[in-house]
Amino acid sequence: MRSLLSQYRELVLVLALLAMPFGLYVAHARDGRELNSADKALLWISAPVQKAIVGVAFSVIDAWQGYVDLRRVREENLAMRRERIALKFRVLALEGAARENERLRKLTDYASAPPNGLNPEDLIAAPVIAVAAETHEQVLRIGKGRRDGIEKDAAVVTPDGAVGVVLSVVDGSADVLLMVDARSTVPAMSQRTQARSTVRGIGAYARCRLDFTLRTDDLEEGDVLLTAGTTGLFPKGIVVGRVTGIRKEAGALFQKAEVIPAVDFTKLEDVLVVRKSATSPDVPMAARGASGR
Amino acid sequence: MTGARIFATLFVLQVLALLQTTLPLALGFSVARADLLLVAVLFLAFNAPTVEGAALSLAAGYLQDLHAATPDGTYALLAVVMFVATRLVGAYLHAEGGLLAVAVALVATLVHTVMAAALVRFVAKQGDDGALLRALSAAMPCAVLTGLAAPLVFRVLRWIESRWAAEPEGLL
Repeated sequence: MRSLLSQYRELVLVLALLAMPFGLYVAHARDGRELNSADKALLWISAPVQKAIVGVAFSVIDAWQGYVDLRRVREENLAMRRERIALKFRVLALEGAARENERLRKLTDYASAPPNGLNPEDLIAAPVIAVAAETHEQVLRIGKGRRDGIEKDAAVVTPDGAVGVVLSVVDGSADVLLMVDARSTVPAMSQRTQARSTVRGIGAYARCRLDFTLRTDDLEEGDVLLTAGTTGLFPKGIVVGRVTGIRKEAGALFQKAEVIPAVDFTKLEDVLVVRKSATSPDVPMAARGASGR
Repeated sequence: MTGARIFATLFVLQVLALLQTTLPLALGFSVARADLLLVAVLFLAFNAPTVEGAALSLAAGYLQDLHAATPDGTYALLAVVMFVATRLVGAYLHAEGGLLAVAVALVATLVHTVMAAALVRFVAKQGDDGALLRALSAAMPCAVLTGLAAPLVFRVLRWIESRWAAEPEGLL
């Protein structure tokens, strides 16, 4: 018997290890679990460890989640910043387009129904394509030339007023001497009194000088000056600017004054060139309003 | 050294039980969990001496009962049964780890689930006839997770086995 047991020792032990839980299970399957001291001791040990594991895991997950959230927020922030810059550019572009639209509309309105007896076909619209290489030269280059019908000494205007005259011309472009250039003189007359004078450039974009205004002429601050149309360069009645800084010196034949040009030469983008055939001194010009229209 | 190895294995079984009960919570798995103790039983079936392995499997089942709050003996019985069954099948397999361990753990999880459901249904006379099928379908993600965890658990237990290898008998 003993030899039999030792021969099947393993089998017997394994069967015993099977029988033990089976018996326990059959006995307690329907009763549920009753915790004994060993169970309680193990659970007493396990609970804090389980708590710690879950706590550490949650901390790690929270930290990771925080990191991920931070990265996401940062990425969102960067994306929004990029979007803001793109929108800013877009707004600038739209504002530029709106300004250009307004400017071109003004130019088109002017060119399609020019004042002072000019006909639409007397005007040639041209874009400004360059400025003078030297800052002390008030010259612009426009993108139309001889083949477009532009000739030397043709007047250049905008809806705001006189710009200058064509200084030189080639097939595809022309240089325009601005009326603020020191080489430029424009015969002018007061819109209010018809008193004659000469507007002379002094080489500054924002100022001209008023010459040859008789001391006895009625000249007031803010008077609008128009082209006199006497030289055949400018049509008569184009706005030149406004009078400012009048000085009457004792004993002098002429009074002195400055003129603020009607055109902002620093922002010119398109101009109208008046065909020379339209600027004959004989062409009748109606008086123009202060706005130049 | 056998005592130290058994003690170390018991310690690892307790650690596995703790991980098995806490990781699903920490990782946000609502239902699926890896049956790490079952993997330990499989390892013992492939590698441990018979009686020692059966006893340690019983301990693993006991821990599972304790942490699952199931009636005494439920998973203890299943653990020893799984040990014996795997031991018999193991004669034809040699799961060192890797893919074979994954496959064995996956199949064993499904078998274990079916056995647990059958035990509850036919011995404890609880539940209904559909419980078996429901348990099996719910066990699929658990089986996958158990299979994935198997190589790691095998490696840890292999390390313990090599660290406290059984002394060769009959030297003196």
